[in-house]
Amino acid sequence: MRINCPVCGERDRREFYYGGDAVAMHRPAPDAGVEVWDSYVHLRENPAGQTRDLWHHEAGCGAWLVVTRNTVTHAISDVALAKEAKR
Amino acid sequence: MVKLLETSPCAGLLPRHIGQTALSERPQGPMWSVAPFAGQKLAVARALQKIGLTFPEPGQVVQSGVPSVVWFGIDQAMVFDVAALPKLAAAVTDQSDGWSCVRVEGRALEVLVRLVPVDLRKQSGALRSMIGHMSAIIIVRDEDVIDVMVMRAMAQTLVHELEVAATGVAARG
Repeated sequence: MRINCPVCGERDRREFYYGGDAVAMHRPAPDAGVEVWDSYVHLRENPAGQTRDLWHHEAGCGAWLVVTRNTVTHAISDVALAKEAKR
Repeated sequence: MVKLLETSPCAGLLPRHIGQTALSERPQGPMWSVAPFAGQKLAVARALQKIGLTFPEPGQVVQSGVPSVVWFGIDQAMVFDVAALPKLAAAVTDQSDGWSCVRVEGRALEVLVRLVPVDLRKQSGALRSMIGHMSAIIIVRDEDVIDVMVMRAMAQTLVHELEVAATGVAARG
């Protein structure tokens, strides 16, 4: 598997560290309530299709990336810098 | 006062010649890590331009006489051989003596292709990747001159990895 880092170009998977579902970028407000926080911390979709994950280019430029990937075909359709995707 | 002895990271390990590959340690002067604060990259670039440098784009190496600045990661650069930096809107740390820098000459591409998961034939300038399992900075000066930097504590591992790879290349003739 190779990920096309927006900074470094196409790199091998071993340079990257998996950071979980990109839901981590949408942290609820501290007073959002128990149910919202329970969902944010514990509940995850398990889609057969498109999913968005965070990857850290830890042995490369150090950027956090949002990788859009299809869990059925394993095709990666988009890679964006997390700091820009968040805006 | 105790007088401490200065020892370079690869003292006692290098230089080495293996087949047509030469491994040597690069002499090191002052080294500053510069990471601009949010939105300050342009201001930092302008301040560095006053001393003949700039803030590098990804992969860029800028040389101005002896001083140079090398891209070292996202929003991070390393300034070499400048005694003191001007005031910068950036997180600046003195990392002198903190890195081992080894120059691979001769069959450098053939040696590093065994260790680095990036096709270095298509590269020039600086890139961050791995040597074996270590993260490293690789500066492609020319196709047969490549500098490799890892943290100082990893000097022995770096030399070992390069020696094994160079021995393999030499064995194939």
